Amino acid sequence: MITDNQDQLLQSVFAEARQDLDGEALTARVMAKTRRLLYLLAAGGLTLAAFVLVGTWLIFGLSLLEFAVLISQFLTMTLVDLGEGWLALVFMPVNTIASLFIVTAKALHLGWKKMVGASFKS
Amino acid sequence: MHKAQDYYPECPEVFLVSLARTGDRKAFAELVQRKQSSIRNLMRRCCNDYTLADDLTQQVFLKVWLGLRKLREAVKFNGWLKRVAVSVWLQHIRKKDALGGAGEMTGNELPQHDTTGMVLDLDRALVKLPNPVRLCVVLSYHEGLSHGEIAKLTHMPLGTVKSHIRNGSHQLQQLLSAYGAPTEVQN
Repeated sequence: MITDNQDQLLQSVFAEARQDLDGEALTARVMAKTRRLLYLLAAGGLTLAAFVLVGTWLIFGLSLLEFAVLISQFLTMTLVDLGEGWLALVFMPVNTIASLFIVTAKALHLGWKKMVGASFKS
Repeated sequence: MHKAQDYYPECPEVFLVSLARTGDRKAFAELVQRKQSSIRNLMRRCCNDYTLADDLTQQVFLKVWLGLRKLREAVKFNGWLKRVAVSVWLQHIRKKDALGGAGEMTGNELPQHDTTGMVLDLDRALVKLPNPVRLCVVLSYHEGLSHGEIAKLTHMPLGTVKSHIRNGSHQLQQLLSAYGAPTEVQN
């Protein structure tokens, strides 16, 4: 590309000064640095993610845990007191609030299907 | 069996840029190999210290590696590479200036090996120019950029660029007059 106003002497001096430099070593150094940079970025990302996780856990973790414990305690409460005999053991899986919820949900689902089916028939 | 990477040395530059943008390190290495000479020459003319020029060239390619994904059109790679090189050089000057006006080169850093007398003389003459003047002259004569392109690249007003090149060329003509009778400025 020829530029605006250029001096011929300077043009030729600059052209001659341009050397074709061997770039093996420099390329190797650049590539080594890019590799190091990738590792640094990955390490930085992992550290940041760890900080975010730990921070989130510290802020919300305990309250979440307490909430989960409360919920599980509530859901495993027995519906009918059957004592501590074999009868209680047999009915334990269905004798909880959780099972009541499941049965109710299933019944609602079936009822809904029946209603919808009936309306289609009519 | 040949791998695709074996053909990279024969690949067109645009193709290599596109591959490097996707994170292909081998393609990027090939790009560095192809472009390092031009960037090192530019830095050598700018800073007159071959070790520093190599360090700055490495910085340029690291910046390129980090920013390559942002380059939208692979065909614009060369112009972008020049912009990155100039910005790395300007940052270096600013850093040196901030450290106490060390921006002007003394010429003590001139290499004593692997260079012809003419290259040494050119570098010695360039050392005597102030940094902004030297940068404009190098971009004009070494990189072959127009005044407008230099103004865009260096964020200097066009008038300032023109006057830097005029003054710098005049000084260089006098310092390098031994290499030929000074010629008239061509239009």
